[in-house]
Amino acid sequence: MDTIQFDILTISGAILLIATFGIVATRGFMDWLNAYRYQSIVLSGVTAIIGYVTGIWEIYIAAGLTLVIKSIIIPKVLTYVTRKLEIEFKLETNPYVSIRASVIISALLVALSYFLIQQIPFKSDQIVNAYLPVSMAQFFIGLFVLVNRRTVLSQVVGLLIIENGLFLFAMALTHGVSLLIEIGIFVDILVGILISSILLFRISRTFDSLDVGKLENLRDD
Amino acid sequence: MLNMITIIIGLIQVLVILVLAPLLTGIIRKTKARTQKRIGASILQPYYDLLKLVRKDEVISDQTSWIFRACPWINFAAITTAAFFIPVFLAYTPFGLVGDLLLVIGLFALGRFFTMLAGLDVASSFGGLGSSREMMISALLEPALFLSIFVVAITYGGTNLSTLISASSNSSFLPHPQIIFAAIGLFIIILGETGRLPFDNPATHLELTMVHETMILEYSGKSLALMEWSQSIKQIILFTLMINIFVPWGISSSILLSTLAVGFLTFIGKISLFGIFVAFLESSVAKWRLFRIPDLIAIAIATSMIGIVLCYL
Amino acid sequence: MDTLISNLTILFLLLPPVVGACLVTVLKKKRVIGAITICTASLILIQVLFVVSRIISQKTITAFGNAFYVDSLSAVILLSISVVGFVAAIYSKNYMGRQYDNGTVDDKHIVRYYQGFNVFLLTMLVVPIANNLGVMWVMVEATTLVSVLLIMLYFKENAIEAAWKYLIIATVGLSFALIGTVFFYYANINTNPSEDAMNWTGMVHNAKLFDPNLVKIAFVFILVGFGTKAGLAPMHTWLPDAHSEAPTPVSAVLSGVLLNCAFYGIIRFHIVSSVAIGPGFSNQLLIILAVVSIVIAAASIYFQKDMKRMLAYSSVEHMGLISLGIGFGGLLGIYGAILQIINHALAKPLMFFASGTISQKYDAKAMSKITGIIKVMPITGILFLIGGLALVGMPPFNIFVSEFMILSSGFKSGQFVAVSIVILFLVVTFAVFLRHLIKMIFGDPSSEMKKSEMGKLAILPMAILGSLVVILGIYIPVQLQTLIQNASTVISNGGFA
Repeated sequence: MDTIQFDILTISGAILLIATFGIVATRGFMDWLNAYRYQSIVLSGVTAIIGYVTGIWEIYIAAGLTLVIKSIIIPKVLTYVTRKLEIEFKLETNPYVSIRASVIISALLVALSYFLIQQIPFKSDQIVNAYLPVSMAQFFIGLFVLVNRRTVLSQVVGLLIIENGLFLFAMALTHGVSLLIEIGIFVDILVGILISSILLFRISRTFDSLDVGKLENLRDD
Repeated sequence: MLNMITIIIGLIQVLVILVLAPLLTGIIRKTKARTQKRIGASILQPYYDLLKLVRKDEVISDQTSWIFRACPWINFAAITTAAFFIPVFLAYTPFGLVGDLLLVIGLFALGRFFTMLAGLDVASSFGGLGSSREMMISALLEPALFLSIFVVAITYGGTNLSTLISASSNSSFLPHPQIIFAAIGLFIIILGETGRLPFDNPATHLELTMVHETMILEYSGKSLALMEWSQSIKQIILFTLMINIFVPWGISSSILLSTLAVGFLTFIGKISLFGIFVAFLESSVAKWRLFRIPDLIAIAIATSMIGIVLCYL
Repeated sequence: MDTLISNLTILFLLLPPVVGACLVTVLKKKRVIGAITICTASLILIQVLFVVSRIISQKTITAFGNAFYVDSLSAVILLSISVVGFVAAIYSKNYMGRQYDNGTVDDKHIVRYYQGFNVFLLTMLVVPIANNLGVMWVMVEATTLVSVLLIMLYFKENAIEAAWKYLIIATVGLSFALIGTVFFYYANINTNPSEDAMNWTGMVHNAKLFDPNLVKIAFVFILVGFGTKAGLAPMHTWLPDAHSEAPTPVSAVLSGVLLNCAFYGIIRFHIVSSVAIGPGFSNQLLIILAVVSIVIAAASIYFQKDMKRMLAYSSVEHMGLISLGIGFGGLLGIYGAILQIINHALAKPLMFFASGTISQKYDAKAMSKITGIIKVMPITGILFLIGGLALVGMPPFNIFVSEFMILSSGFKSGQFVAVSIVILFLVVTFAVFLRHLIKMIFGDPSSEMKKSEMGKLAILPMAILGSLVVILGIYIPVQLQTLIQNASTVISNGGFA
């Protein structure tokens, strides 16, 4: 029984990783958004599994919130924003590290996160073993996407991946910090996305570009 | 006595592969035609093609050396030898004592090596072009292939195909997570190895896009028949490996007539379904630029690497 | 009865900014909303003074069950928020009015500004009084979001760029802090799974039982996370951009208070980790970051051409000094650090106000274009000079006292290498900062400058801060001394005074 449960846990974690790789391996913003949507749906499924295993009902609410906010509202908002942008954005053309190298770097990051998690003294727990490295890997890959890609849109996507990793981290390690705080975190994300959408409009209008490299007026020289 | 029976079954498995190979090609072509709203040739058409080619005369350029003439035979021999090590509907092959998965890959590499040489040997610009492209792709594919095979080998304990496939058929209904990653990696690699879209378009004769076809462009008659047949045998071998490693359900694990029959029927079903799936996939993607192909292979390498990491969980 | 009073105290602390934000949204009249914001800020100030007086007598206030917990340390931060909020509200009225006359902002912007200002005050007020560390994190993140909105008030390239960098860097940084918080929570529920586990009081109570390795990792995450928000180098890169491009009153609040709020988070976890594994580990990390901050700030100030950016780097330096004091430990060092929090919260807004007035007058931010302030605007010039001298740590101004305490505690605790590096770079900063300052204040103004001040409402907040800077340098009131004493005991004594 326990091994089957562990298999289910690890496989759902693996599917989550695949969804994360979907973002690293693709170039178009719409592809990212779709990958993010799948990732969030899987994440809410994973959360529900954690809820089932631990038997804490609050986690189901968190899973529902994840489903609604991250897989419906945020992608909708971002789709709307990109439609309305004055600059048409189709593909990320020249990231700092090429797509193929970044895919491999992400795989190394996954290995790194498994290694790191083994170094930290956790209580042996199936959920922790299965999901914690995955969440760390998401966190690292998010950071990597954030620094590697050149457009503002992809930085938003990087932030979203990081955030998903954090959510899974908290869920896996502590079976959810209390519901009130989670709702607070969700509100923070939502407001953050709204603000960054406004900023996206302004950047596209004042800089005539979505390239992060253009944002370099402020320097010490 | 038992040994005798297993050897006979082993031979039958080889025969099944050799005979069914053109049929699989036919199924894929038919499905592709249907998805493109064409009626398409009969699924037996590859057999007719082979028969027609065998009956025809051969034209050989006087600029070629023995390599050109020997290549089809070496290629065919290498790939047919590989077929001996593949469990098809029984999770065991008596010839597995002599060779394992790595030997199969080695034999494929040998065949490919001679095909590339033959492409260069005719001294036409097309052949050289095809060979250089093929070399680039295979040089990239090889490490990815080995990585994903390591994942499978570590999980199921060994590269011997008999132990590997019987271990996978005995494992639980849910595969290990690393196997999912290995499957993704291996699937991409198999598309590349068999020269399917988006790596290579097997149906084209445009000099800009073709890879495999350019190398065998100068062949005709019996040699061409051999080359084409070897190619479809290679394809069915790789597909069989894929389904037997990753979806081993239904494969017979004992030498009883009933289980063998079930194993054979499920094998036919699975391989046709897999062929249809590949055909659908081919209809939905376009061929990628040659220099974007490393992106795809990078994904295969990355997923296999994650698979290896998960092995040591 | 006592709990009722506590609940009401907290309620009246948080109510004014909420009501203020609502009133601003409803009324929308340019003249009225500035006055409303001044009212909210002064109500907050009064309420905070009341809270502080209660804290001095009874040391802690717990309200709404266990949701809010105020001790002397929180009271210090509350004090700095309320004072700076109050003067910034007064200054805002003048500054935004002038921006409106320039045509830089319109009615919509002004409404948005005052809404943001009130909400900003609210989020900052919750940070030091929330007992639940998760709520504290959510609120620190909320301060980021609100202040991004305030920075991007102007539709200017630089402001947008600064806002974007600030949003991305601060959010990523705080995600590290969340990981650290979750680690601490995990360490706590491993030993004591109770309702109280996420609360700071519960955490300090059980900290002795925590797994030491876990605490170390967790504290590193916390330090990187809140350190980013607190502007400790090398995570400070957003700070000069954001502080120089924000509207001046917001810059003052960002620099004077928001950094303290973030640093408050570090201090809280520093206490937990000191109880769990002894202060050595976190002290060492704090000292390293402090030294790096001071060195980088000194180098950046040397090359600086922009007035507000120079002040921003000076904030990095002072956050480094605070962290240095906490890291050196001992009652003297911690006392100095807390005094430094207050002193910096007084001197830095003064400088930002003065520089805002000056750059409005000269229509420039580059220091090379600003000369002869003392001849053009005598009062502002003198206040600017006072603030500048205070910032570099010149006696008899307030920062001298706290810096002296911090450095001597360093000698006392035997950290000679760190102290000598810091002193070396403080001297560099001193020289460079003064050179910049003197060039701007003295010298001859260009001929078309008319000699005039920028209005009483601009002078008043600067005068308040300036007099406080001078007074605190000579004499610290007994009540304040008791408060700081208690706060230092909270830090050095494992959370209880």
